[in-house]
Amino acid sequence: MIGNGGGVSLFGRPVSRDIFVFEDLAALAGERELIARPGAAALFSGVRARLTLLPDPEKAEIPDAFVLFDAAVPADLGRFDRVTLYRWNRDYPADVFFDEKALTAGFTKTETSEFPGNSHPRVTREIYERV
Amino acid sequence: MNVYKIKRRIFTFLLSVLLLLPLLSAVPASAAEAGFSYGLIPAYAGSPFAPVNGGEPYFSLSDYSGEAFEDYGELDALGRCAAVTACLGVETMPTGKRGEIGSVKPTGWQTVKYDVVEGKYLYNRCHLIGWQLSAENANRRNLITGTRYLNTAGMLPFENMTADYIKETGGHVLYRVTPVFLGDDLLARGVLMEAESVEDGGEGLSFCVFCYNVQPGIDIDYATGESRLAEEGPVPGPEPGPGKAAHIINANTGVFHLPDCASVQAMKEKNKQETDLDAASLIEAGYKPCSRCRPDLAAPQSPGENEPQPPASARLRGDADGDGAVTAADARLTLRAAVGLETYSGEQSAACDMDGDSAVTAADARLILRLAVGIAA
Repeated sequence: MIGNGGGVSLFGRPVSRDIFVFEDLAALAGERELIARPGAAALFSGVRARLTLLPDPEKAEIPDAFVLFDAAVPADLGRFDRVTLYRWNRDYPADVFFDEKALTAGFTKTETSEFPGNSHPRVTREIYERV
Repeated sequence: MNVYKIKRRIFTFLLSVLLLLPLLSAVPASAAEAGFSYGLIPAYAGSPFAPVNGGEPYFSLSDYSGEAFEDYGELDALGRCAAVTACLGVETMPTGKRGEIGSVKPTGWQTVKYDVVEGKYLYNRCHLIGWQLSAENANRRNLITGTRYLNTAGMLPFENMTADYIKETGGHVLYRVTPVFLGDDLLARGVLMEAESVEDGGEGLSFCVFCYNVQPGIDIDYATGESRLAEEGPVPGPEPGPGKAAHIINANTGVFHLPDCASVQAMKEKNKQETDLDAASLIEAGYKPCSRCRPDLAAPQSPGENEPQPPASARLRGDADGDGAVTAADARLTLRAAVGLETYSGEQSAACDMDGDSAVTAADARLILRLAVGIAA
């Protein structure tokens, strides 16, 4: 989840949050496990999801799982077959950024959609699949 | 021990307790009182903001109930804004359309355009607490002259973050914005922005940053608000003079040095703070010049030519008894000096005049105690 400019988080906290986005993510994951850092638990309050909290989601070894990176995104996305990117379409300050160049090596965008968020006028969802 | 001495000790103890109790529980009235100083801000280096205090606000949530409020400080004698503090929530946010604010001309205001500035106009009327958070529009105590860059690249993203957090959670955010002016400058150097989400104890939102009141490509005279394109040369203003070179501040002692001062070599890395402020500005901000390299003079002293004066900089700030540490005993001693029960030497006075008002008062004792117990840096 990134703001304009690619900002992911500031002082360890995601730049923004929106319950409609987490519901969308949970719907995408379906019955698959959704792995997240412990601090993300509050974001899914009221959302029906198979949530697994791990200190290092990046190192999760659960096959066919979704992994949420809301405070930092690994530079190497080689382990992943699919990336779902949510854009807040808002200017937020950040000190951790997502380098979108990571998506140009080995991924292709297969879907773009927009929807109104609970507290954001417009959220853009992009899905990238490994080629 | 005679009765008089006993009564005097009891009096001193009670006086100390009366002063100590508020010190230990009160929220600082200002970021400066809690240790913020412009001298610690790094020079602008391309980012519109710089973290301050490790990103942690100087205030504490413990004394706030979470009920919404807004407090706009009074304008000073020059008409400049002071800090504004608020507990923001859905109830403080606007419900209608924003009105006009053209009638307000904050200090330093000039109407000037440059092609290199987005939107052409160099200056905006910058709300200290953004309109989207407070619905305060043409409030003179909430408006400063700020560059387009400060307004849109600096402050607005933080306001967006805060507003969206409130809208999403329905919670409250304790929020303070402090404009930073040097001397009699009419234009602020920037603003200190602090915020912390209340109901979740800062887990959702927390920041403490300084946003620079600069405009890339434009030189600004902060004394008047006048400006010119950067390639045309230096902005008219105070001529570069003694002390214009960069300095090194010892964050622990509050003394500043020339970069090649021997004291800098001996300084712990964690205490070193580089600044491009000149000596006059640093003294204005409360820092003391090193008595060895004399950065306040035209040329540094070389070793062996130290002036024969009490080395006030050798004593820690707040170290009244000269034992090399700042403790509650120093606060007590300073309180005694403030009420006339002790007589301080020039060195002690220099070390214990914490607020730089050229007098040792109970306020200095308060600041020393805060330092001693670790509430202030």
